[in-house]
Order: sequence, then C-alpha cells, then structure tokens
Amino acid sequence: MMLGQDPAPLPYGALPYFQVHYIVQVESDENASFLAKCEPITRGHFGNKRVIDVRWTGLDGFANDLQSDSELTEMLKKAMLRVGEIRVDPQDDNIRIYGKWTHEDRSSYDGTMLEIADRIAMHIRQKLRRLGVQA
Amino acid sequence: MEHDDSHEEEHGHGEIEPVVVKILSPSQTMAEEMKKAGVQSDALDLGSHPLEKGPYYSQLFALSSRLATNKGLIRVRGKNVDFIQVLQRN
Repeated sequence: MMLGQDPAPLPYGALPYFQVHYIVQVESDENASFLAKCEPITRGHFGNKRVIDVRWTGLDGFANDLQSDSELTEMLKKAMLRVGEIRVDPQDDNIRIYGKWTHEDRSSYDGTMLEIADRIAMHIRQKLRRLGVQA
Repeated sequence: MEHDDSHEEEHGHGEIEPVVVKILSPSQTMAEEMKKAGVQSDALDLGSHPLEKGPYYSQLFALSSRLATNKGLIRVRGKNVDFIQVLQRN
C-alpha cells in the first residue's frame, strides 16, 4: 500500500526556509538611528527583469549615506534580484543586516551578500565614530 | 557448491571500510564554505553566545517574523561584520 501526502499537514513547526543575519555588535544609544531598508527599482518582467537602481528608506541621514555610496549601489544592483530586499534592523546591543527568507536549496554561503553587509557595516561604524561612540 | 564459493569471494574476510558520516549544522556548513572562500570564520557552539538568545528582530518593520529558530552563530574575523547568525523559519 502506498502512503499518500498528508491531506491535512500541521500548520506549525520548522519550515525549510532560512535567513542569514549579518550582525554588528555595538551597544549605544545611537543604534536606533540605523533603521533602513533597501528595495530594488526594476525594469522589465520575467527573464528580462533587471535592477536599474536601488532605493534606501529609513531614519535620519543613514539612509542618505547608503544611497550616496555609488560602489554599494553597484554591488546591490547585481544582487538585489536574488536577495529581494535588505533590512538594517537595530537593537539595543547589536545591529542586524539581513535579506529575505530563502529556501533551504538556495541558502548556502553568499559571498556577494557578505560583501554588501560588510560595506553597510562599514558605514554603521563610521557614523558611530563620528558620533563619538567606540565602534 | 559453486554458489558457496562465490559467496565467500564476495564477502572476503569481513573487512569492510567503515563509512564515517559527519552531520554538520547549517552554521557549521556555512563556516566551512566561508573558510574555503578565504573568510576567517568559526562556528560557535549552539547556544553559547548571548546573541543567540534573541530577540532576533526589533519589530520596527512591518511584517517582521516573530517565530524563528536559531541554527547557530559564526564569528567572523577581519570584517566590519562581527557575527553571522543562521535562522530557520517556523
């Protein structure tokens, strides 16, 4: 007798989706000012879809700092079709940089994403130093 | 009789090479891949760092995840990023 697929699968439990958080460990009162989100501006559809620019939105001048970094923009234009969205998510003792959830089949090490996160982390540290925080 | 002989040849003297299977966690797998790519990194023991206890999201963004399972932390050296954490969705 063949066992079929469960017609009523449980609606909870671990799902086959993973997310990688790139963490800058820094504790300061200024952390909250690093809230930012990057979304791609695309043209075309399906196979012809391509990223022509990226748009940073967020608090204070941090989003502007990221938007004005042309090297970061070029790196993002190559990766955003795959990554989808990047969030900079501050907490009291750390700042997290992450993309969307990816299926376990595609959740291996992404060198490009590490370089992007590293560059965003560089901006975070630079701004913290300007504000007199040791980072 | 022929059957008995062939049976003995097939199995020899019972010297079978043991197969060692090492199961790696997602963070250990990623740390290995990073090392191969030339990034200095070490996977930490699961639950050994305060960052793993959460929360993982500030909830300042709309539709942030609330349920996620920690799958390990990687310490990164020589980069502006200090750690990499792998989370699994619930």
